[in-house]
Amino acid sequence: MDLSNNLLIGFQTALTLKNLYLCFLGCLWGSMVGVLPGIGPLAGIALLIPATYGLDVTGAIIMLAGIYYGAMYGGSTTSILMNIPGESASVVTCLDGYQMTKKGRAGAALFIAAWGSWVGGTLSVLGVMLLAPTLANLAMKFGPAEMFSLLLVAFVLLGSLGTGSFLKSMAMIVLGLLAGTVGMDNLTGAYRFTFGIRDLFDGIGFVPVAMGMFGIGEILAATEETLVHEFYKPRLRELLPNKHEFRASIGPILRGSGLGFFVGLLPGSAHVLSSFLSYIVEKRLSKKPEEFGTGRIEGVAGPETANNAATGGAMVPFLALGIPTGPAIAVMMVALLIHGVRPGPLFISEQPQLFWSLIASLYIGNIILVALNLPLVGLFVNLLRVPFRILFPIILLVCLIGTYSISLSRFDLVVLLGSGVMGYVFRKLRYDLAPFVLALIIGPTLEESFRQALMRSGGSFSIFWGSPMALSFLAIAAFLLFWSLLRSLRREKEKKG
Amino acid sequence: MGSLIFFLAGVFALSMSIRLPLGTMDKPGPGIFPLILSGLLSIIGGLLLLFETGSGKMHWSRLIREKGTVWKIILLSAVFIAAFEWLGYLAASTLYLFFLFWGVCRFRAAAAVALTAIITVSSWYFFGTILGLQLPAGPWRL
Repeated sequence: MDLSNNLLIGFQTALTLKNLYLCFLGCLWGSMVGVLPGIGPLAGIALLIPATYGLDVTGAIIMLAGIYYGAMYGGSTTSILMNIPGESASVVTCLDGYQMTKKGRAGAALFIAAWGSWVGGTLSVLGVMLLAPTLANLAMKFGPAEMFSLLLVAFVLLGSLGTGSFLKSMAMIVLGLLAGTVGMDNLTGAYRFTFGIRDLFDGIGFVPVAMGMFGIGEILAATEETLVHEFYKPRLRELLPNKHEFRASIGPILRGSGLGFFVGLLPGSAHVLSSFLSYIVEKRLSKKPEEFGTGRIEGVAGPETANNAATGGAMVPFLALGIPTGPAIAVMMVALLIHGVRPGPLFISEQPQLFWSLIASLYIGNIILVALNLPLVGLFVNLLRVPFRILFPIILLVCLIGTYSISLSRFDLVVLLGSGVMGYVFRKLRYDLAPFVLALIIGPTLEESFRQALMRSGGSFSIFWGSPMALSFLAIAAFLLFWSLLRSLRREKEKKG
Repeated sequence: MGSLIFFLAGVFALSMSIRLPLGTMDKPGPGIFPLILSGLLSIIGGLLLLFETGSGKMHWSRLIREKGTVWKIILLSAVFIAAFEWLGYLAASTLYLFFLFWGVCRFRAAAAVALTAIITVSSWYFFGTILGLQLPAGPWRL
C-alpha cells in the first residue's frame, strides 16, 4: 500500500470523535505538565497509564503521544514568561526568551516558539513517516548479532552524549544493565539477584524506577530551591511578532527542524541536546553573536523548534526497532506493552493501522497544541500561581498512587521511594540519570541478543564480525568508545592543569 | 563518593555473579552477562576513584544537618508506604498529606487540615471513581 493511502487510513481512524478527544486531552495534560516544573513528560505519561486501561490501544497511544508532544510545547511558556524552564529541554529558551519578555516582546517570543514547534513537529512527523517503515524493513534482516552490535552503538553513544563525563555516564549505563539482570533469566529460568524476594522474580519494575528517579528525585531536589515568581501575562493582541522577528526566525526554524530530527534519532537526552546544539549553531551563524542572551528571537526559534523536532526523531528507533531513546519514550513503551503491543521491526507490518493512526494523530496533535498554547497561555501561567508547597505534596501523592495502580504492589512503592532517593543522591553527585533508566529497559534485549548470537554460532565470536552490518556497528562503537575516552582524559588533564 | 558506590556495587555483584552457572561458550549461562557487567562496573568505579577531581563530593555531616526537609519527606513517604495497605487509602493519604503540609510545608494546622481534606477527597474520587483504580479500603472499608 502506498504512502498516501496509508496516511488516509490513519487520518480516518485519528479523526473519529473519540480519538480527537483523547488527542486533545493528551495535548492539554502534556502542556500543563510541560508548564509545571517538578513534573516532566515521563511522570506525565506514567501517571496517565492507569487512565488508558479502559481504552483501546489506538486511543491509548494517541493520548500518550499527545502528552509527550504537549510537554515540549508547554515547557517554553514558563521559560519565556518567568525564566523558569518547565522541563529540561526548555532551559536554553530562558536565555533569550526571558530577555524578550523584559523588553515587552513576550508575546512575540511565545508566538515564534509555538510556530517553530509546529513547523519542527510537522516536518519531523514527515521524517517518521518516511524513515520508520524503511528502517523497520531493514531491521527485519537483523539477527541477534546485528541487534547486539546496534545496541552496543546505542549505549556508547548514550555515554558519549551525556551531560556529564563519559566515564560517569558509562558507570550509570553499566549499573542500569546490571539492574536489568535482576529477576528470572528468560533463557534458562534461573533467578538472579532476587535474594529470595518474590517481588523481584519478575525483575525491577521500570516505571517505579523511572518515576522515582525523575519524579520523586526531582521533587526532593526542588524543595531545596526557592523559586521567586515574577509573572507576566501577555494579552492575546500582543502575541504577534513583527515582520523583522518573523523573517529572522525562518532560518533558525528550518535548521532547528533538521537538527532536532536527527539528534532525536540518538539515544539519551535528545531534547536537551538538540536545543543546546541549535542555540550554539544559531549563535555561530549570527552576524551579531554578542547579542545572544539579550533577547534575540533566533535564540528562541531555533531551540524550541529543535526540541519539538527531536520528539519526532525519537519515534523512529522506538517504532521501527523497539529501542526507546529517552526515558519518556521508554515509559510509553511500557504502556504499549501493557496493552499487548510491542514496538519493533514487525510493528509497522503487523499493526499498520495503529502506526498510521499514530502518525495522523501526531499531525493533528501539532495543530491542537498551537491552538491551545497561545490563547490559553494565561491559564497555563496561572497554574504557577499555585505555590510549590501546595503542588509538591499533590505530585508526591499522585506519583505514589500512579505507581501502585500499575500492579497493585506495595513493593513497587518501595522501589519508587528507593529510586527517588537514588535519583536525588545522583543528582547531587552530578550523574546523568537517563543512561541508567534506558539501560534498565534495553539491557535485557542486549543480553538476549548476545547469548542467542553465541548459541547460533556454536560459541564462536566470529558471528559478530562475519556479518557486514554487525561488523560496521562494532567498528562505530569501537571508534566512539575510543574517541570518547580520549576526550574524557583530555578534559580531566585540562581540569587538573 | 559516587565512584565508591559504583566500585562497591561492582564488587558485590561480582561476588554474587560467580555463584551463578556460567554455562559454556555455545550455551552461555545466566551468570555470564552479570559477571562481565560487574567486572566492568568495578573497573569503571576504580577508574573514577582514581580520576575524580573532587567535583560532586558529598559532605555527609552537612547533608544530615541541612537537608531536613528532604529527610522528612523520605521518612513520611516510607511511613505512608508501610501503612498504606493496612490503613486504607483515605486514612493513609489524609495523614500523609496533613504531615507534609503542616510538618514540612509549615502551613498552620487549620490550613493544613483544609488542604488535606480537599486533596484527599478529590484524589479519592479521581482515582477511585473516574480512573476506577482499586485502592485499599482499610479496616473501615472506606
